[in-house]
Amino acid sequence: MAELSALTTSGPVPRAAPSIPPSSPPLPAPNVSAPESPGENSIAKSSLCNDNAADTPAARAGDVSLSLQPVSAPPALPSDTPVTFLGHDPASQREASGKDPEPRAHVIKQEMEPAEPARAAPWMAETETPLLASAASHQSEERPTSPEFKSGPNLYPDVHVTHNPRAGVDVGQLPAGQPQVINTSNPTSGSLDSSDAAEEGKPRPLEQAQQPQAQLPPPPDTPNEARKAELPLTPTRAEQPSPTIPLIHEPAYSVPLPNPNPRPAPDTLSYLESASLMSGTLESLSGLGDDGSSIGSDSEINGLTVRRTDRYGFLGGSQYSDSSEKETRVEVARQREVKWLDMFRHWDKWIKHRFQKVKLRCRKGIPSSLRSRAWQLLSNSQELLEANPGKFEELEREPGEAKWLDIIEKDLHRQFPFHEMFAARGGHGQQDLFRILKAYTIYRPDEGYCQAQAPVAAVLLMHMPAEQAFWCLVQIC
Amino acid sequence: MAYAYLFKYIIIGDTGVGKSCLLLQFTDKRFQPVHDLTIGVEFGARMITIDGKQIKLQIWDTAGQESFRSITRSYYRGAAGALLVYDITRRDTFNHLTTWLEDARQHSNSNMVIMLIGNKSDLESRREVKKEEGEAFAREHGLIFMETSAKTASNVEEAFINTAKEIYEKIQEGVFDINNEANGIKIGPQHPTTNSTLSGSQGGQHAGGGCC
Repeated sequence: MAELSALTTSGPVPRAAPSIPPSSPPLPAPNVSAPESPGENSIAKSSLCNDNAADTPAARAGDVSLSLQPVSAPPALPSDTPVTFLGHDPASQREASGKDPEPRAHVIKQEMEPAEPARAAPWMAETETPLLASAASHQSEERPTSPEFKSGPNLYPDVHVTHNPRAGVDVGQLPAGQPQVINTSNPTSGSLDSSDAAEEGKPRPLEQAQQPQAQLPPPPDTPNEARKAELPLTPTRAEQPSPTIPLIHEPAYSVPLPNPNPRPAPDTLSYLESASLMSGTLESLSGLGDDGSSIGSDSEINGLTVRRTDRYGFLGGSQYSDSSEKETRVEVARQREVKWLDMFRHWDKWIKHRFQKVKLRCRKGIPSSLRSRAWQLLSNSQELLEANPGKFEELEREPGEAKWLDIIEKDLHRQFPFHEMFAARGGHGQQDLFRILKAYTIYRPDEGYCQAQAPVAAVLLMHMPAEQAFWCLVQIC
Repeated sequence: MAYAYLFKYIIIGDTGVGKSCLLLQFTDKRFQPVHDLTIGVEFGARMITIDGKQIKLQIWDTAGQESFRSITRSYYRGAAGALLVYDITRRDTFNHLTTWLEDARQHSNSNMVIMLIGNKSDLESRREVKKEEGEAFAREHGLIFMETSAKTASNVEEAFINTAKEIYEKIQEGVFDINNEANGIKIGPQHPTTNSTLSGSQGGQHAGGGCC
């Protein structure tokens, strides 16, 4: 009987007007015409979060690797089999970056595949808290290769694209091995992906993976200039080692695309590391906190059914998105990335002359790997960032006004408490959130802090470092 | 589900006093120590029975921060009841009650029943506002008063149900014009369209109607 539904919650709220997203069902005009049964009007929370992130390679890559399993994973693979982890399972990367990385990583991957969300349900229930599990496994050299292994939090848990150029099988849907667009020396087989063509009426050559060059031995460690040039320029945090780099032993021709998710893994990594090191965090995770506050105790994960994160990093709560929702095909996602990268290269021209097209592409969903860059360009915050070197640090050094700090602090643990980045009290996510919200109150003292800024800031932080997120926030607010 | 009446409530009070937790405890009978900030407005609903009648409570939970005041103000109109919540462990939330009350009185219909709630009564050790102070404030301003704990569920049902009883009594007394939905009261779809409810209280009859 009881119904509880969110009306206008995590999305950004225009301050002047009632915060009703246009897509909302009849929101109670707060008078006579209030709906009778609120429960029927539930609205997706957080449009920022649950938007078209599905349109990313991350969304599909897991499926692809699954479909490849029978052919690309014979147990007796030659040890030089290139293995490409386009996605970032932090745990598997640590694993893989150990000695003898490639075959081992490959094997692990195979073992992990059953951990596809739908099938994983039975064992997930008995998995320990993912954060704890990962923190613990980080300490030990010996990590389990059982499916539980994959239950570690991961912003993009499903991305494991394996590329085996020697497989020589029909892998039409193998994305990693397909030189796209850039590889002009290799005439396309003429097969156009119909969905790509349909998508924007602008077909692009799409190579098929079964082409002869797939048999060539991979040029070891050939620097791929195209690739480098296209890597998103978003700086990663200084303290984050880039665990992806040692793993990329792919042939130069194989993936002209940037790693689709260059940032989330480092984020997750450093977050987990910090979680395991930070005093109080583990305590909070295991529910040992002694704070009996009614509004939020330290036992943050208490009462939460422990499960792996969804593709956005949510462990649960109302924002948790089911893996069953419609996902964009990986080829489409890749095409989108290529198109976005092309726009980045000529951004000013695109904005000036083809703005409608940019808008259209935004509405189709910015590939999540490129959102950081895209948001900074779209909001023009990058310019602000470059024009104000050191300004953020300067703002951080200032003490800030107590009345704002007080409210901000009260809100830190109430912002996406079921997101892996923000779940731990005093964790990196909450710290960064505090930093940028506080900096904003100093930057614009007349405005101070509005609670609706917190979800916006948090979503920005899911995609970019604090300083970039701050300038983005400044531009958005 | 059929109901005899629908009452619209609004929950107001400073940020972090436990408004959303009270709502969750009442509608879902659970306490969630962490939850998202309330941005703008959320709502919940639950059916209760008073005098043998099914009554649906439709509860609007508002954001407490000052910046949302202009939004929450628009929700007073058309509310039959308001829960004005403060946190017994934070005196400032008690001190702000007057501004909240002014706001509520100014933007609601004059018959709106206001219940003053001192929440977090489980945190006795951190109490900053005495129960007597809450009672005095309620007396002074003509409110009903209750201390609750959304965590232990203590008095939560009572707070919502007593408010509903008060509204119901006012209906019986004919204070509310139930045909004017601006009062925050709506007659249920299955309810006989007679207006006999205003003066006569033939409860059993209507309860029968509400059940099918």
